[in-house]
Amino acid sequence: MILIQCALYSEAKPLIEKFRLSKNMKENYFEVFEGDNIKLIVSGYGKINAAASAVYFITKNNLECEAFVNIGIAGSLKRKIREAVLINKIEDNDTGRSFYPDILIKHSFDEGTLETFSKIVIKDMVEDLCDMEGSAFFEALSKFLPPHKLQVIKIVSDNLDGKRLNHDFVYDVIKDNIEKIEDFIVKLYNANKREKFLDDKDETILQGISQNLNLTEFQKNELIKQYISFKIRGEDINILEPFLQIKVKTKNEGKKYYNEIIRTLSK
Amino acid sequence: MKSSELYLNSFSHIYVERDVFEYEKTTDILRKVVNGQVIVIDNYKDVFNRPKQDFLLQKKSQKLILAKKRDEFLYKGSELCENFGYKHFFYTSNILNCIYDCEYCYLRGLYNSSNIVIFVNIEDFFRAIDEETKDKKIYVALSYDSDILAFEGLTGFCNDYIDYAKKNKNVLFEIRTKSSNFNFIAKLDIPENVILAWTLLPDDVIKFYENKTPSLDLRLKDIKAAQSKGLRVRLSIEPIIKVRNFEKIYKDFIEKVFKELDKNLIRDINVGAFRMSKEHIKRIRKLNPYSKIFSYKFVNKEGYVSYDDEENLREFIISELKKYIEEEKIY
Repeated sequence: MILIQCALYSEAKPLIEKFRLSKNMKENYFEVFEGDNIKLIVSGYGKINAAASAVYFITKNNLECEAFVNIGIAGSLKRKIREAVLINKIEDNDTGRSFYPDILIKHSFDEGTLETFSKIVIKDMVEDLCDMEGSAFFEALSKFLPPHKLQVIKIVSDNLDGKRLNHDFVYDVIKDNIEKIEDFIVKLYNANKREKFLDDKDETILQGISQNLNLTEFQKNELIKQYISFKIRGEDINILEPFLQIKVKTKNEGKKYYNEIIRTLSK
Repeated sequence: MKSSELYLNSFSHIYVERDVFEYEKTTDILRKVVNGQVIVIDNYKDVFNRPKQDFLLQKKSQKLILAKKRDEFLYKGSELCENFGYKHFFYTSNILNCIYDCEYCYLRGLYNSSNIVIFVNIEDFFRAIDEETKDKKIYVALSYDSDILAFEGLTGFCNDYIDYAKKNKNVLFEIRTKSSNFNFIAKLDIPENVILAWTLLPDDVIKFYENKTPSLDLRLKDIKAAQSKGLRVRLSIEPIIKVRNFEKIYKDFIEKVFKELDKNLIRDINVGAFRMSKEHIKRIRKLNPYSKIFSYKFVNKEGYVSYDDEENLREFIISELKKYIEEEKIY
């Protein structure tokens, strides 16, 4: 699952359209949109909203996801309007703390530094980009997720000149970069999803043997450990299939076959 | 999608402490890593010690961190390591972590991160060694938390240490490597108080367990080059890793080593079993319960874990070595 956070609906709209997300009408606290393997939350602007909605969302998803991405607009004195930037350093203007997302995946963005402010910034001393959510998003989620799963993409919407941005413009600048964003999200998902080492066949064998031989918890754990070693060595697991046909009536009988299996696996 | 299509190249990002930009070593390294994205940091620990980092995933795209070591330039060597009879055994850590990715490496789980920290202030390490050797001889392992020669093209640290060793006869350095980077120091006059050591294992083990390392042939080629300069080298068969057909594989391996090398220019050979503290093996299992290292069962011994037959494996190797070299040279 990829989780996305946007501060404003106008930032979220191009993503909702691109990924064909539908609004979850059961959500009362934040607007949430869902699709295949992607969910999006609209936080509202500012650090408190960003932190609260991020923690709410990751908790609702059982603290699990392939990545959680903050996507939104930012101001910059030196960059061009509509430029999309992947953030490699986030500074919190209030606390002076810095945060570093792990950037492991190939991407087509320029990279930059984001400074997060609690107030709207006009012509301030901003090194690169500034927003009002990034540091809170990252700091709050750092309690739950590793830094390679936390990513921030900012699209330059203004040069800190204080002009009010209308919703259509915000929608446009995000939409302009939607292909890049999609490409990055797909790569993030592929890189971070974990393949199971023990597949369904393995689980069937292990469960079957454990039940048929009436194994104790200790024996079950030992069987799993030995089975994993056996599989890591690239041995043929079919060697255990005959044991699946055996059903024991007594504890001693079970122990006898268990020892035989352990011997087979540790050869 | 292939891994190479997904992940950025190693050193795509270089985190540089604000304080180290003035060091010559920093300038040299930054000049060599031309396409790296430079990110300014206050302290390396802000990046290196972040919680919840994925050590193994970071291995797919390792980043570089240039920092200043501020204290503890010399550490006392571990009792689990061979000290070759030297009473005062130390190690240094100019580099944390390694470009290689050996499944059995104790670096897995040692740090929060697998990114590579290079401490650029080597002058401060020399000052610490000066101090320690004022009144005694010491033995210092230089490749303890990394493979220092593997980074030579980037750091030049081995060149620096070799130069230093010429001026301080109270120090004995050991540069241990799995690399095939001898060419970076081949032209130097390497004094007697610098021991070059190569870790060797059979190719079957290298291929299965030692990701990204040079093959046995490449390492032997380097050792031959060192021997051709008259250098007496140390070999390290460590850690002994169990494989199917263990005896044949290790027997053939030892035969090959002695066929290729000049045994008179082998200073000594250390043979070390695979041993790890119970706590550390737990950390490694937590990182990846399906690591190849768990191909064979480990048993708890006194304070550490190892193969149940570790002594037999070691004895077998020693008995094979004795066919080619004097017993006194085997540790």
